[in-house]
Amino acid sequence: MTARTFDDSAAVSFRGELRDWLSAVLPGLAAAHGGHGSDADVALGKRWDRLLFEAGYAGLSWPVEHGGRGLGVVEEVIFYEECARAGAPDGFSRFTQHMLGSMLIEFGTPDQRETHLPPMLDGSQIWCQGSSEPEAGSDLAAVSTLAERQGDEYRIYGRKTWTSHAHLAHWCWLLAKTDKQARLHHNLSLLLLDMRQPGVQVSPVRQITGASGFNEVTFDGARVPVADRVGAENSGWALIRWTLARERGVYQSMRRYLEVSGYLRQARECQRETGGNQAGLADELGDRLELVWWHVVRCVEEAAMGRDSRPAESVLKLYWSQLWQRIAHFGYDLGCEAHREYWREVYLYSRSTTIWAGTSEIQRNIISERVLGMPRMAAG
Amino acid sequence: MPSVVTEQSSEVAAAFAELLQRQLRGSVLGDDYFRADRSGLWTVIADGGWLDLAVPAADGGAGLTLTDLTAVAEAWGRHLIPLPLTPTLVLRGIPQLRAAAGTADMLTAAVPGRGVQLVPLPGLGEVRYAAWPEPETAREPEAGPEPGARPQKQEGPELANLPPGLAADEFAPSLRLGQAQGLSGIADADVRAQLAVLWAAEAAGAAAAAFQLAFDYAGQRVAFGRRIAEFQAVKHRVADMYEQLELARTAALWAANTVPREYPRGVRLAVELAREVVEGAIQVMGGMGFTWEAGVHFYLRHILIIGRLTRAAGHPAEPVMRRVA
Repeated sequence: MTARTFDDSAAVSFRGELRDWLSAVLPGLAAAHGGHGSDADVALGKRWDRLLFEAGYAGLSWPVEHGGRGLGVVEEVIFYEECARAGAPDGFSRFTQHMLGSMLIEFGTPDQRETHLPPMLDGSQIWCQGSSEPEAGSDLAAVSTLAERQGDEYRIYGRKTWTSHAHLAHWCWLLAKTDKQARLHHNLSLLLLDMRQPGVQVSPVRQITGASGFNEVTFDGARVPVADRVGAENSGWALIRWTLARERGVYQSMRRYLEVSGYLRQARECQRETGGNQAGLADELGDRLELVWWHVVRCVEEAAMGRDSRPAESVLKLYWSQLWQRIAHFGYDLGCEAHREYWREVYLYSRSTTIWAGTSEIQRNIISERVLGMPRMAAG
Repeated sequence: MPSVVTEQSSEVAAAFAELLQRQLRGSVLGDDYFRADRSGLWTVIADGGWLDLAVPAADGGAGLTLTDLTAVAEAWGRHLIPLPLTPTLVLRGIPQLRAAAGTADMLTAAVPGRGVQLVPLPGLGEVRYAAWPEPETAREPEAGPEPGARPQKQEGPELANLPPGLAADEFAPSLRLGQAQGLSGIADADVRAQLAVLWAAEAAGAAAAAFQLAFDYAGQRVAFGRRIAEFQAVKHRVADMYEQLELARTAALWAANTVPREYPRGVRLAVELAREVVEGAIQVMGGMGFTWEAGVHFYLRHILIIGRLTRAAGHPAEPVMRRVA
């Protein structure tokens, strides 16, 4: 079988179809930037989810039997490239679809797939990710939220934090300790928890932007049927590692490429409004942003040829997160009065990009220790 | 068509890399390395058909695309060999240049015998690659310094047979620049772009070699009772260098993919990222990295000169170098 490329006939045909659709649908979509987690952004993201679903662009690489299009990573990448070019927004549920949806397709039970995949795909079911805790950020394996087995259900006790969209979520995919005795990495399970029940309390956490896109979530005896556990008991760490690798890989890099392309486009507009200083820097940042796309293309094509693309892929998150900050910094410094609030929010928010999804320090540990084989940090 | 190097061409590049490893076994980067007579190596390369990698298969070559050639240029760049492989690959891949009368001279110039080799590059002036002395002008071996004497300043190798009006830049012993007055180039934008792409890939190769040097050093050098590779500060710097190296490789591929549609924007990024890798290598190697002897600077010099060449390739009106009055 010939390895897929970004200019094979299937890719060209998909790109053409998508371009036509985007040019037809985007003019009717009101642009909004109320800031990350704002009502306006959430509403736009949800509307976009719906439009994507109706037009068949949700779940591009999901198998057809689960409601997807059965296409591949090439189409997923082209999708984001074309959306970035056209100035499209991102869907509110795209993260969940890529991360949790793909995990359920791979490791979920038939019941879990049947229950959760359809409403995840059309965007009607909102999820939050219950991983980080006050004492388990970068050291995620140290989570202490407890899932006590009582018959055919678990009772949950503990506290999660930095939980995005928990105040909107219907469901939570939760990492919890299911064995108090087992050693680290062998004591966690991944559970699907219904947020609409007693014993779940959501409190907003105010961020440096002033908004509250994430929350603290307290569990005090909330229930999860054993049937809602993904994978075997105490296999949660492996599943989380699987999703984290996706979060730092090509799919999520393309989502970030889409978002950052929007900032750079706005920066260029502001540059014109403010007299066009630093044109060279805008071009330089634009080239560095294009390199994200080319690096993704390289990783995808090399993997399709059967080569190990993981080493090259390992640098993606470190690269785009820092570039995001540089572009936000640049846009802010243009001093465009007409977009003052926009750049304040974009700039402040950008400080989080090198923290979530594995800090830059964690990324450098991964690259140096796992990819390059340098000596591992001594466990404390 | 893939945007990356095909499997078949990867194997070609790997075979070429192996040939270079074999031929250069035991060589140590240093002044003698650049003085060494490499005419034998050039003959091996030419006889093996490696100069015709870009020549279409129908004309007896290997028919590699510019994208495929980046893997070859990267392998070449690891060794800083002062021979004109990169421009020769490009120039021999262009049918008009191969066929045109008078071109033979240019291509001959790219096949050195002994002495200074000048490769006239269309629209760019000349790049002087080889630097071994003519046999009759080779200097006598110098006697060692008297005990206790101040070390003599190491002179770079002599350059002989300069054409009149040539100003030379000997900053990088692996890649010397010269510009002869009155040179008329073909100034073909596509040729310039192809040269720039392969130089960018060559820079990524040089960066890869410098990365390896620093990586190995960090695994051996002991400070505070342990290998410095165990220190997170060092590991994180190495991780940054690895990020820059992988992206330099990607930038060279990007560049190859945009020729001939536009001047390859990836070139400048590839060279810049390659330079950052070597700057990191010097830092990781600390005081040793700053010595002439350790040789990391040769990679930096090579990449800096490639930076000038590629800038000139993008702006043909600018001379590669201006004569200093």
